Amino acid sequence: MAHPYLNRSVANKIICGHVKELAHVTFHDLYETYPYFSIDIKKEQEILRKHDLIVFQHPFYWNNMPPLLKLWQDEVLETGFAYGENGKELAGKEFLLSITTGGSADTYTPEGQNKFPVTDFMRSYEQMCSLCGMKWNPPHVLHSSRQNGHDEIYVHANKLKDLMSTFAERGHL
Amino acid sequence: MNGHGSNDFFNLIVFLVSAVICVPLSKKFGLGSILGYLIAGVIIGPHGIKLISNVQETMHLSEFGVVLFMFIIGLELNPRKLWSLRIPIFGMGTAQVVLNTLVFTGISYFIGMSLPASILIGMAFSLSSTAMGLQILNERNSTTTAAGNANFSILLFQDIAVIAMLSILPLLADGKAAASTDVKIVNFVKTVVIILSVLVAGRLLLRPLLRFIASIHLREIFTAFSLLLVMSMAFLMQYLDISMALGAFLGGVLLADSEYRHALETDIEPFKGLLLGLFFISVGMSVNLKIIFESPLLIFGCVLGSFALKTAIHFVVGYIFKLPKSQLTFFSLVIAQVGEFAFVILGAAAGLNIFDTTTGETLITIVALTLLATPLVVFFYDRIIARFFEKSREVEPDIIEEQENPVIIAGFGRYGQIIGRLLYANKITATVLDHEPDQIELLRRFGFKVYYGDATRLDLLESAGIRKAQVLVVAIDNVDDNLKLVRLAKEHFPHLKIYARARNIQHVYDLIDQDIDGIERETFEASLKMGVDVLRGLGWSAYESVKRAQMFRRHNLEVIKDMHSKRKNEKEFMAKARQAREDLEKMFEEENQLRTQPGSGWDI
Ligand SMILES: Cc1cc2nc3c(=O)[nH]c(=O)nc-3n(C[C@H](O)[C@H](O)[C@H](O)COP(=O)(O)O)c2cc1C
Repeated sequence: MAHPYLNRSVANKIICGHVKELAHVTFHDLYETYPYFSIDIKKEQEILRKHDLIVFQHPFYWNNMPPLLKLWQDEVLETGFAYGENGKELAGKEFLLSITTGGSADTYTPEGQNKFPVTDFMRSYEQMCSLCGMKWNPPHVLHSSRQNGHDEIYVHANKLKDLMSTFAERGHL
Repeated sequence: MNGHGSNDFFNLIVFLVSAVICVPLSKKFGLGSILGYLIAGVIIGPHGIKLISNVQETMHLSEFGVVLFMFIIGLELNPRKLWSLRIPIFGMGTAQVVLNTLVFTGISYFIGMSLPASILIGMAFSLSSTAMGLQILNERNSTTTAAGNANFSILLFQDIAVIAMLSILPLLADGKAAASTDVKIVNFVKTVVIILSVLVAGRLLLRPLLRFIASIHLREIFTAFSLLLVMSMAFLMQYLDISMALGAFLGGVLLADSEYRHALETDIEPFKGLLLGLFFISVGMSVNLKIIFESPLLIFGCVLGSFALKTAIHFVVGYIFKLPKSQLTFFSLVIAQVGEFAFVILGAAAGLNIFDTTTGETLITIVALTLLATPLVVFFYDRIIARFFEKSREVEPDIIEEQENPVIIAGFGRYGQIIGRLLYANKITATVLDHEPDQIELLRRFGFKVYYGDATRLDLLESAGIRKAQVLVVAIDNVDDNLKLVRLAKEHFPHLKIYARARNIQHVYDLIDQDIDGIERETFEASLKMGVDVLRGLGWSAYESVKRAQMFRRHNLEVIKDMHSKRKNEKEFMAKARQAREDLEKMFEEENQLRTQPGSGWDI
């Protein structure tokens, strides 16, 4: 979870509220944990080791992740841990990208403001997965996050919750 | 003066009047209170204007001041601290008493005294004055220095040694008078058993008893109980032929870690002060002016001689036990007088006919004069020797072989240490300078290379390798020294990067004037960080709290720069200050607006 101003958030706040308390889920708020941007690399890697599904939940900023998550990526996913020789710690884990965008689905068309389909902007995430040997899942996207009524956000959040539960069950089988 | 009662009353008034006149005068002249009391004693005594004649009785009464003093000292020494002093007490104590006794016995024998008389004089002159020594240390707050500790330890040991001395006194009179060994052993066992049971019972009973007394909430009863406690301990010890002071001291130690320590101390303190004053008055009274006038050369020669001899012996003892060189002289002087126990021993000796009355009186006068001389010598020490020492201390800082570390840290207190440790953790070696000897000892034990010396001296900086260093960290807390070093470094070593700790805003301005590479207010970052934590505690999100603090910091630093340029003009300065406050408000207001809808431009 990465949102610099969660107290002012609408969409991400509701979504987090839905999945936070689930059994088998560790809710990890990066901006709350590392407001000074000094990431405890060893601790983060330990958390990753202990889980089978990694979810990135964040608002889409400039069609990308918020900077602290980027820093997290740079520092925590080290060679020898996440990739490279002996870097097999994430191999076999499931990965799910869940984002909220201010723009509507229409903006992610050739005529829209963003010109490209939203999945085009997720290539770097997808590539991260393949390099680390994680399984890429169809991303979970909420468009028009600020213009939607709360109902739509609730529906979206419940869907994410169900998705995560399925993963949990699968893991148990 | 007819009745006994009115006589006592009159005496009391004489004491008080003389003290009230002499002590403030003496203090005014910088001679300390003790000398005031002593002079008052000389004036009102039997050899002065004869207002008071019974010296013995007064002295006896006033000795209780010493007893109370030892109790208070005991209160400040819990058993653990006392245990840590065992080496100074028994090592230095034995050395001091034995060396002095030998030397003075030898001299007395050499000038033709009988052997018993010589031994007696030797013993008497080996002792120092607890009352005088501790009072001087107390007035100067030096009880906790290494030398102060040593002085105290020796005085404590003397109190123990007196017991032994008094018990061999009869032996000196004539070989037979002493009790048989059997009786002695029985006595010894009895004494040990009683002391042990008092200690155990005290440990178990005293605190509940004190708690009960305190719970009655009658202040004077608590005071009465405190006094009773000390007196009964003292009395018991006297009954066992042990010094009263030692008993009171033990009583104090027993209560050293009780919650009533401070209450007891404040209650006893005024009694102690007055009685000690009385004690010094009675010492003054025993100065026999007639004897002095009869043979001034002999008397003063003896006084000076014994003072000098004792000082020399103490110097040797202190040197052997590795006292800090700068404290050695003071240590030696403070206990160089012949103490009040000498009166007791000499008095007892006179009773046992070991020597004739004139010799006895002469000796007592000599003793009293050495006591009188002590505050004068201390006065002299402060004015002349200490000054000379301060100068000479400057030329004996640690000898630093030319260092080649890239960083020099001046001042290694709490502030400098954090910088030093950060560098150390990153394998950057720093040369550290500090002028606090205690601090340095401690840090050296932790493996830091710390050098003792005044960092504002050019030659020291050079031997610390400032020419080859790249960075100078000025972490000295004293503003004047801090600025002095910055200026010095700026002037002589322009290649250096200088980072300085600032105490307050004025100091910041002064440092900005020096145009150095880094200025950090010592509490600013810590307070700001806590501000962040407070915002978070109020439920703000962490990152936002941090951002607000960072905005605040940036604004604050800008304001300081601005104010610095305007500080010569008061009107502009005030206007700037007002405007700065408004700016800050506006800035946060804007930030609030902005953040309610972050990225709203994207919502299409
Ligand atoms: C700095 C910034 C950049 C943004 N960039 C995008 C973007 O590229 N595309 C988009 O659709 N929305 C963008 N947005 C809008 C956010 O995605 C939107 O405000 C967020 O999803 C709302 O979620 P919240 O209610 O949890 O804060 C941006 C917002 C900010 C503050």
